[in-house]
This record gives sequence, C-alpha cells and structure tokens, in this order.
Amino acid sequence: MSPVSSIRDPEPVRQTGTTASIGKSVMIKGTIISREDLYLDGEFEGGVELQEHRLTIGPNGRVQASVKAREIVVIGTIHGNVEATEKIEVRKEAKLIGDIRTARIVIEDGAYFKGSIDIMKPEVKQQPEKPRPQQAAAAAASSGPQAAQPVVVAGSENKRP
Amino acid sequence: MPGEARSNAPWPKGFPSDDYVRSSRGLEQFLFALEPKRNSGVLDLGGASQANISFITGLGHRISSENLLEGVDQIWHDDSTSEAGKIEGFLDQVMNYQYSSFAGVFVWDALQFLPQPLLQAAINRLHDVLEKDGVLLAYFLADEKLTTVPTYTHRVMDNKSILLSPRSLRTRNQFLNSRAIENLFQNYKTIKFFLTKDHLREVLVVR
Repeated sequence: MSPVSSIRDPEPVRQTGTTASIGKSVMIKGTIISREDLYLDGEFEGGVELQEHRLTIGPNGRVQASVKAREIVVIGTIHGNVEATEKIEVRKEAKLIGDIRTARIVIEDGAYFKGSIDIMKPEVKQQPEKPRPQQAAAAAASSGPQAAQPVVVAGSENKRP
Repeated sequence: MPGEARSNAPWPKGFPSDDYVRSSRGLEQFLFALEPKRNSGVLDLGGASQANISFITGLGHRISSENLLEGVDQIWHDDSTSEAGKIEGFLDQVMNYQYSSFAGVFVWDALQFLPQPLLQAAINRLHDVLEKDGVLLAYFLADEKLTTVPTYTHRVMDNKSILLSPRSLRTRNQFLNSRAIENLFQNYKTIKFFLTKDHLREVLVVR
C-alpha cells in the first residue's frame, strides 16, 4: 500500500469556468498561488496569494492563513491577516479574526470581526506620460517632416521597422 | 446559563424598540479631539459595523473592532475558572492590543454591563492602550431603578448624530452615578459629562 493511500483522499480541485474550487472535505497545508479566481470551501492553513483575482471563502471554509487577493469574499472563517487590493466583503455568517488592509470594505450586520481595518488607496496603474501639447508642437516644428511619424512612448508595443 | 446577562424580560417603557437617531455632544467632542490627529487608530468596542468603519476610515483613521459584551458572554460565565483566571482570560483574549495604540475608543454603553471585578481591569487596560490625550466615549443609563435595560448598536451617522438599533435586554451589573464614574476614571486626565434629555449620560474621558 502506498503511503498516500492512508490519507483521506482529497476532493480534486475542480474548475468552474475560470474559478478553481477547493471542496469542503479538502484539507490543505502550504501556500496557494493562483492565477485565476478561487473558491475555497475546505480547511486551509498557510498562505494564499491571488494577486489579480478573487478569493471566496465558502460557508464551510476554515482558513488559517495570511491572504492576499484583488477581491475577497468571506462567508466562512478566516484567522489571519487579509489584504485585498480592491475590495473585501464580509458576509453576515462570516468570522474574521485578523487585520484587514483594503481599498474598500463591505461588512454585513452579524458578521464577527476582530482586528483592525486599514483603508489603503487603490493602486493606480501608471499611465505613460503623454507629451504636453506645447512640447509636441515644439518637437514637430523643430524636426521637420520626419516628426509626422507616430511618437513611440515607453511601454508601448509599437515597433519601428 | 448561570450568570447569563441577556434577559427575556419585557422591553421597558420609555426606551425605543425601533431604530432611532439621537444627537450626541459627546460624539461631536470626541471627533473634535481626533481632528488634529491623522492616520490614528480608533477602537470600537461595540462590534464591527459598516457605518462606523466607513465613517472613521473616511476621516483617514484606522479602525479596530471588538464586541466587548460578546467577549464577556463567552468568558465570564465559565464556572470552571476562578475569578482571577477569568479576568486574565478576558484581558488576554478580548482586550489584547499589545501591538496597537489608539487615539480614541468608542465604548458606547458596554461598561455598565461588565461584572464588577472586571470593570476596573477593563478600564485600566483601556488606559494602557490609549495614547496620551486620547479620548474615550462611553454612555451610561441614568435611570437608577432599572436593572434589566436595553442594549443598542451604535452607528455613527455624522459628526453629531448616532443611529441606535435595539440589540437585546441585559442585566445591568451596576448602576454607576457620576461619582462612581469619576472614581472609575481617576487615572485619566479629564472627564466630561454631557447632560441629555433621554435616559443616557454621555461621558467623554481624556487619557
């Protein structure tokens, strides 16, 4: 008998659309790094990181971990610090013990929360600086007909031939 | 449960049983004291509420939430532990803010429901976590005769008004008159009482 067979077989990670799912009978220890949304309804201990995605802790979810995601919805239990770059939603059945850092928070009446809430400004993606009209006009005047070519700005995917 | 503080007694007359908004001079002064401070911590001992979180974080502060009375219910009524053990347990599990300090604490109406031996220990702990010149806002029922009184959830509506939502009836552990309140906060710098037209006595204490 292989050593693995003595461990309760975990439910496989299911994918529903673009959301990965961890079922209620699954117990995991370690670190989860996901590049898609995650629905976690089992027991988890460690760290969760979903930088650009949404994490949902289902009603049966019991998480003891530091959690980082774009958006977090808590219906079950989290014990650990939580960071949501966009929004965190704590439903009325939820229990959250830990410190929260987020841009926006929705907390329903009846939710149990113990910890601190630090509202951070949402991250603004840096736009490449556009040349001001006066500078553009001056550049066009000084460089003659060649200046009619499109201006290539840093980060743009335009490539010169 | 022995010692359970919640009560099924009828709702006492004269106390609103629906949501109502009351103006609060104490709140106004509390927020005025916070005004010069930026990015400070505020502790809300009435439990997490969206209104208070939005209001306080909207002012640029960090907010911490704790439901003091729920903590009492969980810890104080355990008959297998000694009184000293319960106090220690309460301070460790419910009022443990060893890595935080606060410029303001909303105690709301909770203090009068704390068991007598726990009351002074809780106030001393608040003294420890409040910053110098930090403020504490507490409400006490002024009606001496009632022992079973309503508790409310307090939601800050604006800088001078609060929405009170009825929560439950609880047995008040002690009636605290002005003198008793002054004695409780004798380690603090100042204490200010605000007279109100309803049953509440508003108290603003400065550390």
